[in-house]
Amino acid sequence: MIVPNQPEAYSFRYLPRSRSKAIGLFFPGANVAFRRSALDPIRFFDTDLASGEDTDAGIRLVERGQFFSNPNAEVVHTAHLSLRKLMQQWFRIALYTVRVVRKHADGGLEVFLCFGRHLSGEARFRNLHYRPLPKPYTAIVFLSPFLLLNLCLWAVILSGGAPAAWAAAAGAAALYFNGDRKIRGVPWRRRFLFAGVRLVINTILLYVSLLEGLRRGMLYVNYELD
Amino acid sequence: MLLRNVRLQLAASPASRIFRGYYEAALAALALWCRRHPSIESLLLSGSGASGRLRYGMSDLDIWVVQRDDETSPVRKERFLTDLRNLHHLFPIVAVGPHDVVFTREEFDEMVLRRSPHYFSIPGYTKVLFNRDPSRSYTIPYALEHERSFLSYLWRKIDVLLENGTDVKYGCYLRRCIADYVDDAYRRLGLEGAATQALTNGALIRNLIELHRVVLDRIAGGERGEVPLPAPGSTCVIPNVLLWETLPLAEVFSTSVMPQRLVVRMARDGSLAEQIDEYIGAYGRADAADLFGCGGLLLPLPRADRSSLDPLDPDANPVTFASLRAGCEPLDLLPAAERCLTTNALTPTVRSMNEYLLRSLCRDPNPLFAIRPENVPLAELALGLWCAGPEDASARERALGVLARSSDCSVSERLFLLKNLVQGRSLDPAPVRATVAIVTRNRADLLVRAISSLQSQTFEPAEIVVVDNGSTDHTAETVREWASRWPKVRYVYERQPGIPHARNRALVESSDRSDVVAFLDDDCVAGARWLEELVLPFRYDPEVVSAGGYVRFAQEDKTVWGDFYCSRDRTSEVLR
Repeated sequence: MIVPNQPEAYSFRYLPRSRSKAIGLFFPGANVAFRRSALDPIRFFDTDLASGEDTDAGIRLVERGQFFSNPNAEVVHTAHLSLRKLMQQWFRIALYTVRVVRKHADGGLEVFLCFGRHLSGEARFRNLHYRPLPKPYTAIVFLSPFLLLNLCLWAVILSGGAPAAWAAAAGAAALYFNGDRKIRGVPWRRRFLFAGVRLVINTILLYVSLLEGLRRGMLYVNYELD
Repeated sequence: MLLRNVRLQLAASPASRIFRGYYEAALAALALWCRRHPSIESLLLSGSGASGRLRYGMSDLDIWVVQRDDETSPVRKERFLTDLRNLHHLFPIVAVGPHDVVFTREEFDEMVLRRSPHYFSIPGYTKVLFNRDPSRSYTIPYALEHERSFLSYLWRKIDVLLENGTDVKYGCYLRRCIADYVDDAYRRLGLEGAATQALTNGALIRNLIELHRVVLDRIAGGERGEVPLPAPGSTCVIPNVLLWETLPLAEVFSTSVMPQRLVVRMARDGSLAEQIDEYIGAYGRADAADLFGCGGLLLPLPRADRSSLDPLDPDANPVTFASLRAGCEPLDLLPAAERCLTTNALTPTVRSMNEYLLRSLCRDPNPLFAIRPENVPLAELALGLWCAGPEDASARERALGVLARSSDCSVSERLFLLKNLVQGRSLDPAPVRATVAIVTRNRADLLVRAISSLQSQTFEPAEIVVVDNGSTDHTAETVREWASRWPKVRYVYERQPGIPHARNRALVESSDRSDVVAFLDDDCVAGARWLEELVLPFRYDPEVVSAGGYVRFAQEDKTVWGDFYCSRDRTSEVLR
């Protein structure tokens, strides 16, 4: 379930329909339009979800017609958000993404490889493996450079700082930070700051979603959502 | 021999100063030179554009002036080299000016130019003009002087080539082969029938039409006017010629200083539709496509003929076409279209363009998938003219109508028009009323900005529903005050906290009054065209159930994210 919250993800086109329930492009609620005849206005948005209700609505609506993304329809987000509020927001996103996935998951083991990005900025996914499981058992794993980095860092910790683990972590870090397109054009001094923030966000997302998923009986390993 | 169409291509961006220098000089030199060649009817001057791609010219003589002084990108360098490597043997002359910065002379010569039989350069020339020393700024007259001498040298060389009987008529081996083939066919089958036949079957690309003309001239042994070309609509039809490469018309100059017709055109940013209309107005609709085709490539065949047509029989000339085919991957298309593609695929560039166009038209159920906004002008004309196949007058009318209409449409709307045109759907937008719903909580000041940004929308909303999700500040008063001034604004209070509740309430409140509900956040400011663009898909495609735009982060929030996403405040830019 990916909400494209980065501008590069948009281009003028119909959104592709994904086969997987775990992956899809939907519009953020700040700038979206629905055809009224296609939806049930009374309880269209799920009131159990405090966040991610737009994604949830999109998943249900995708059966009924096409989604069109038009980047020319742009709004400027001008609100002043403190870093603390932003952290809360990321935390919420991580939490509710899992709930939305849980709500729609059919049951099954899905493994995705998401190394690299499309030119438009979307993460590039490849479905490595799919195996249907009985309904309540769901496992969705995104293998990404970030996950690799995390595993390497764990290896460093567990091995007590073995040089090989450090080397592997350095390699994974290079892979992870190299993939960040948004950093291009940013002054060098700031790049480190951004990279650090990105690392923090992704770590929050990874572990919060992992824990929340486990709490709800699902294995969910997030990819980096930056 | 007669030179009719001459094309001079400068491998520099028309925006660059160097190009200007070249341009001025080239015009002057050409004016002088063309006086000695009264047969020249058209002269095309063009630049390679920002992409760095060299372009085709379908002309009797192609002259490339290559200098890559300003080239710094390795990608463009590589692309350029590939193009040049593929193309240089197709054209009679590659004249190389300076290229000392990115390519070393040795590298360049070794990789590309030694293989060209008609390559020459002027030693010493480079240093004077294209020294990158910033302290040495050259002025246009200074450059002009050098350019003029360079170009007149070039013309002299060409004259020598012509006098020596070097065959530059067809420009390249391939062209010569095609011409021989056509010639041969004529001889074998008898004059008129064969000519007609060849024109019908073989005139796939503009190049061939021109070749046929030349061959007909040769056969008739006289003036061009004596052998009439088959008229469109008669039993033999010259398939429509689509253009691809000429589309950056802005880079094409033709000027009236020159012998016959030449209009200096530097309208680099002028809208395509205007130019099309201008051409259509000036030459009549029937000729417009033909006119656009000059200097262009492409395209296959009218739809009806695709399966039956045998473009140029490859077996008749195996050496030529086998080598071409070897470099072409098989395409998953209709067999005839494939053959046609393969035959026309002179270079990877052309092949990819052909492939792209055909795929988006034939195979992709939804052409918009393939077309990106930056390709709009190209795709537009290609699609429009594709639809305006000569076999279907009404389609042609429709296509031209779209092109004419597109002048007062936005780019996105034009894309939808074209998509509907290709898919045979209705071209008239469905009437759609849109409600804008704003869900808010304790943000009265920001809300005012959001609502006021809706006042100047290019598409007027039917109503604006502001759902107050339990605010404790002065939101209610603010919105009520707005509502008293602007009756479209409606204030709704939703007691239950939570965004989903508020959004559901907004949907309920908007019921029956509108077809589309657009959500805007209270901390966002909509651009002037926001609603129009957001509603556009609903107007042109009944299958669209949801549309979204993009959310730009202004810098005024001093968070990391804000800095991250854009390095400057673009609020005013968007609101303009």
